[in-house]
Amino acid sequence: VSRTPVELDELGWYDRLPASPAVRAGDLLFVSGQLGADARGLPIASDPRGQASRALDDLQRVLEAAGGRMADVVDVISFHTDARRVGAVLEVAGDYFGADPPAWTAVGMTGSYAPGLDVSIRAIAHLGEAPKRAIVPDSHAWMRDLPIAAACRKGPYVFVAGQTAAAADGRIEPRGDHRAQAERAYDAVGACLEAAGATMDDVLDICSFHLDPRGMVPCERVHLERWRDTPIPNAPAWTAIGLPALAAPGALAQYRVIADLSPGPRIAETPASIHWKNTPNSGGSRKRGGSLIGIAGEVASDAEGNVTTPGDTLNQARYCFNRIREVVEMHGASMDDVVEITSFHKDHRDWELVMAAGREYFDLEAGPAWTPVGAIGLWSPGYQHEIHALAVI
Amino acid sequence: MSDPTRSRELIVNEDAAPGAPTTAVRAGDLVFIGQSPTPGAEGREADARTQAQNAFAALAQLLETAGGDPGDVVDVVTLHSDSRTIDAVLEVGREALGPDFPAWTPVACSAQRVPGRTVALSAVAHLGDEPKQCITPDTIKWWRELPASAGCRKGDLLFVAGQYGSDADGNVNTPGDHAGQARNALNRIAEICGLAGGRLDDVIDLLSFHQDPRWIAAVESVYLGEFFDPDDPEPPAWTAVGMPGLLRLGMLGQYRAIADLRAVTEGGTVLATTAAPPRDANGSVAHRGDPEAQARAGFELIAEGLAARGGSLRDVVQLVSFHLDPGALEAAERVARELFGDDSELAWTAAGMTGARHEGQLHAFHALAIP
Repeated sequence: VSRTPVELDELGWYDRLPASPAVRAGDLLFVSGQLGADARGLPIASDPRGQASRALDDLQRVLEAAGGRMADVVDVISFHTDARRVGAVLEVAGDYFGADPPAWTAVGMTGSYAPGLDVSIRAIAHLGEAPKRAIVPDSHAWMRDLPIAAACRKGPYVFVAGQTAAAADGRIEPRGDHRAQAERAYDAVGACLEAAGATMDDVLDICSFHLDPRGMVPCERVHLERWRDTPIPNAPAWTAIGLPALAAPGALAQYRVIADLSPGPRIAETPASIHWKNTPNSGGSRKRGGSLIGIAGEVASDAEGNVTTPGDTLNQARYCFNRIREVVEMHGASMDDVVEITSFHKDHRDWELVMAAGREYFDLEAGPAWTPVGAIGLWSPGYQHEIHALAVI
Repeated sequence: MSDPTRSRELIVNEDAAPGAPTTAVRAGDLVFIGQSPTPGAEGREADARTQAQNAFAALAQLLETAGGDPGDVVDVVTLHSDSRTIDAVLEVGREALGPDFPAWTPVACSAQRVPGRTVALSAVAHLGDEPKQCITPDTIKWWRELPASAGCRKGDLLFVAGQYGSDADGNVNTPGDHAGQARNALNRIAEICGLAGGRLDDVIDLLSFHQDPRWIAAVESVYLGEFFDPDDPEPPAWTAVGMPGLLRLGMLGQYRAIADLRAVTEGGTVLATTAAPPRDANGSVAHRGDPEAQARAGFELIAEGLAARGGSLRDVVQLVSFHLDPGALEAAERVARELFGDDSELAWTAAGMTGARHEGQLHAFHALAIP
């Protein structure tokens, strides 16, 4: 599958980054976090609707430049510096997506490229002829008032938007219980997959977002139980990130999943350098007959789990990229096949240094789609970055 | 560096190690510690424990220069870049601050003033001869395992460390219920005020941290309806900010109070002020997206509050500020230099927050002044 970057004059500021506004690989188009920013990447009017409109206009321009349209968008994650703006952003989004919305995950971030950028909207579109199906199961009745779907299927792919412990009426229960909320969120993922004709066996990539990074510990128990019977060579990739806000107040964990209905078992590859190699959690996973690889958030820790180069922003980033390279090579691919990076940073001001490291791995002319996100906590307090990637072979 | 007419002394540690506070302002018996005007070294390679050791060593040094020692510390607020490093810092503090522990409020922040910092420390010490009274009631006896007192009184001032919704053994009560936890925490503040010989009405200042800023509105009715009279002409200054993590998993709110036991009768020792952002006719925050204008409006409100009591910004001795994006802090610093003056005697500690009371609010300022 050839990888084609999509460049736009309006997004000329990407020229100096090892990243592209969007990358097309086969039918899939991966779009970097679009911002309420001008052609220099600086924030425009601070009104949440204005920034959302600019971001969605740019998303639309990118899609059209790639030969697609808004209806092709299947998956969105919007990151917000203040979650109280999510409602306004979704209202704006309703005008762009109409009756056939993508799976949409809305979460908080501590910041993006520059102060004043209040929203970052990254997306995946499927430009093929296959019908698109937006899915809102009855268990998610509360979502029907919103211009978003709980899941979206097109071609072999199913994108499940960030699931929480919300009941059908939207109430989050049980309150204050990380473990029980993770169980319910997993059940909600299962319900969405089933409605889309997929199962947990089709899941490649899990990203979980946590209101308190300490809440990842009980959620890890849930993960290990849910995947207990999955052989390690067939495990999915899991990335867990602490973020300042989730979908609704009271939600403690939110799970977003990518599944691939392509034939064959799920193939997990985990280099010996990755310390979680003996758990049902891969370095990167794909279907045997599929081409999309979900790569777990790579971190600066050695094979035993010790943090490497503590406090060294640049070398921690290099360490993460080296792990991504190992994973894609084990899948028979190369760094040129990486189509999307979502880099989570303990201090979002680090994005510039991380992208400087990224230049050693990615072409300035043809970098992946890339969304830097400020996080409140990564798996270990010593990590400065956790870098999630998708690749297409 | 000192102003004899105001008996104010500024002590600056020019080569502070990573994590260390840099500034002390002495006003009478009180010493206020913070990070400005010199923010200090980056020190990305220093781990949380090392930075905590630096912080407490520098605190001791600043106090020594001011004529005191760590035993005089009555209040500490520590801002941690990761909630999971709080315990390591508490253990360092156990060595440095004991055995009569100050009120200590640890909270995780979303960013530090200086990248690579793991901890920032803001503190108040009282150098007077009065006895220091450390108070931890039985209702929260789990605090006795912490290197912190729930309440610490010296002279007329009582500092109540950030209270949580917890039972006597430290279990979070009313899990997931922000208002319920607030009610419990405010009851503890009232109890500690009583044990110190005061009452809730002596509280002049409340600084609250919330794991999700969207809940602040829900806490407001508990605060103003049940504990404080909304018609009180001089209600406590209340600064409420969203922060990414509190002491223990499951704690949703943390409420730090200052009571001045002389406030009602004699006008008080310390003035506490906060700055709610100005809002337009629709109730939306004014100067949207403009960190400089919002900072100016905030400081002007603090100045108005001080002027109403015969003071000015020159009286501010300690500022703790919270910023939605630390990049916007520079704008606040520019405005502060202009309004406070280059020679201000001010201990200022800044950190990132996840959100303030109002959507669109870029800063929250908490100021203590000595008139």
